[in-house]
Amino acid sequence: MKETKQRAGAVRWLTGVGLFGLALVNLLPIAWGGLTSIKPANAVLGYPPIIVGFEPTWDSYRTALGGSAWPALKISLFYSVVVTVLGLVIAVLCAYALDRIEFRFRRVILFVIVACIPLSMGAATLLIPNYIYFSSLNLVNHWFTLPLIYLGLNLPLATWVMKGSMESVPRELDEAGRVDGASRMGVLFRVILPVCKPGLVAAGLFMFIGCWNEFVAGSVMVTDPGLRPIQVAIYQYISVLGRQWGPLTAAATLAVVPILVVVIALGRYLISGLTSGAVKG
Amino acid sequence: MTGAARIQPVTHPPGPSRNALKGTDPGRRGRGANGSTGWFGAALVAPACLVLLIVLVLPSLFAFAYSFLKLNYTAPQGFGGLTNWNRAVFQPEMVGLLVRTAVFVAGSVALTIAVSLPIAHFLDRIGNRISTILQLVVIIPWVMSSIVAALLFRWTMLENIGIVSFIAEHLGAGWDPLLSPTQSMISMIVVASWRTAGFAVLLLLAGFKGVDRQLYESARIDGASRFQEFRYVALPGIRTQLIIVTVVLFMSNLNNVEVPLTVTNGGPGDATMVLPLRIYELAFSKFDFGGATAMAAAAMLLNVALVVVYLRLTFRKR
Repeated sequence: MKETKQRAGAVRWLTGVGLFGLALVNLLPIAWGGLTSIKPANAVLGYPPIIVGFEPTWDSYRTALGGSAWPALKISLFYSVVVTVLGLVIAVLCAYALDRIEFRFRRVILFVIVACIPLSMGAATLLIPNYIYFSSLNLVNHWFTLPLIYLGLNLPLATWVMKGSMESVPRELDEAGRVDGASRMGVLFRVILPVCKPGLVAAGLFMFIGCWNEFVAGSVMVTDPGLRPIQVAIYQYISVLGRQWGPLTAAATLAVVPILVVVIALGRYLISGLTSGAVKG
Repeated sequence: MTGAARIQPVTHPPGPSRNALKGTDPGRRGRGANGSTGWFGAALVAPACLVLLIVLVLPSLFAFAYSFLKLNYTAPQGFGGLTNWNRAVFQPEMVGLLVRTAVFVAGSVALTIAVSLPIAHFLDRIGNRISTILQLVVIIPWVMSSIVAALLFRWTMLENIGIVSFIAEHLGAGWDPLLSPTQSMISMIVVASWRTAGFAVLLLLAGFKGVDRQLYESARIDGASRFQEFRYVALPGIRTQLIIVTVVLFMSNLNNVEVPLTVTNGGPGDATMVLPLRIYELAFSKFDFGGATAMAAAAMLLNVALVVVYLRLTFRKR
């Protein structure tokens, strides 16, 4: 009996250590990055690492915001909002038709959309043919170039999440709405969507985060500095601009904080979306 | 309703029901009731189809078509036969490239699964409130962008002036993993796995939630140990989720440009150069679009195979 107790104690102790390690590994890079971003330039590269006893400064933030990070944050916000709003409308209409209306090629289209979920993860491979034909049609380096691509990359998953969400809404509700004289669109927007709110939030989150975090297409499809998204601006602090860890961590912090706030506020929708319908790495 | 409670009722693999592809209920829908319904449905899906056609479907097809054309920068200059393939794909250096890619992809997938399985199993067995907080902690590296996650991880753990380097030095070990070819590859695998583990944990957790609790009970009555419970009850119960997670992880690592680019950029030498990074570099640093398209077409073949597996899993009948 005593032995079992000891074992249980050991297991609890090990679990505690494991959880602490997990939290440490996941949070330390953000904390260390945040700390680096408020160090004066000479302390950034100091070794042994300087943890306390430096004069906090906003210099790195001034450098980043005075340079490419500010326009990049603005344009990334624009891209993400446009794609999320437009994408939700398109995904909702498409999911509604796929779930509630019988029409020709419905199954084929559903099949293609599901195939597009993993396909959109292959963006790095698709990028080359995409770039070539976008170039020949003169579609690169416009304000709409990245929103169009981001819409395509995020739409399949959003549609699938919305379809899964609508499936669980009883059709009796539709009929009740129709009996009350609502049109099909009226039923969709006043009856079905209010019930699908968790799915709607999850789909919107996936699209917003997907746009905000995209790098590969953003790095080549636009060359105008005013169109360059935030992830590309961050990467430039370690590529074309040398290794500027101060401004880099400042820009990275600015890019991560909004995402963390959103995830902490709406994380449960994200988690439920992930565990119910979203299968993309 | 709390966040964790929402996760519970998953008894089938992620996504809408498996019957999604079967016909809809004929009594309630169909063209019979309303002749215009067909056009209406088509109109509603048209915007989505148009966008997907432009951004995903056409480029997938063009990947193969372009690989047989002569390209001057991005301008097609007529039929080139296998020139691009011979120059970029059918080369001795391709063997090493594919081996390194296989090591990176297999290593990342294996490590992600190995780490996330016990975490997901643990989260399944604890209270909802703590579980929700831990799920948020676990998912953090995944909601950060690859670029930011990989750069911050590198800055904290992999640089020779980072925190880990300092600790390692105090323990009497040298620390500069990005100088050694093997350690660079390991670092890259660790960063990729670190980023995707949270995602895998949540999907696997959904699987564990779907396992009938009574099975655990009966296993315990039969005298099964904790490990046996995990091995013979929990694992078989999440088989489908495990396969889906594996496929998705394969796909995302096989196309991962960001992590190799930001952690090692292929170095030292060519030790960590993998297929997606080579394609990216060939096109946008060396401007050999012909070679890049041939390689992209080759990679697309692998992707298509994974897409087929994914589709089969999603629409598999019970």
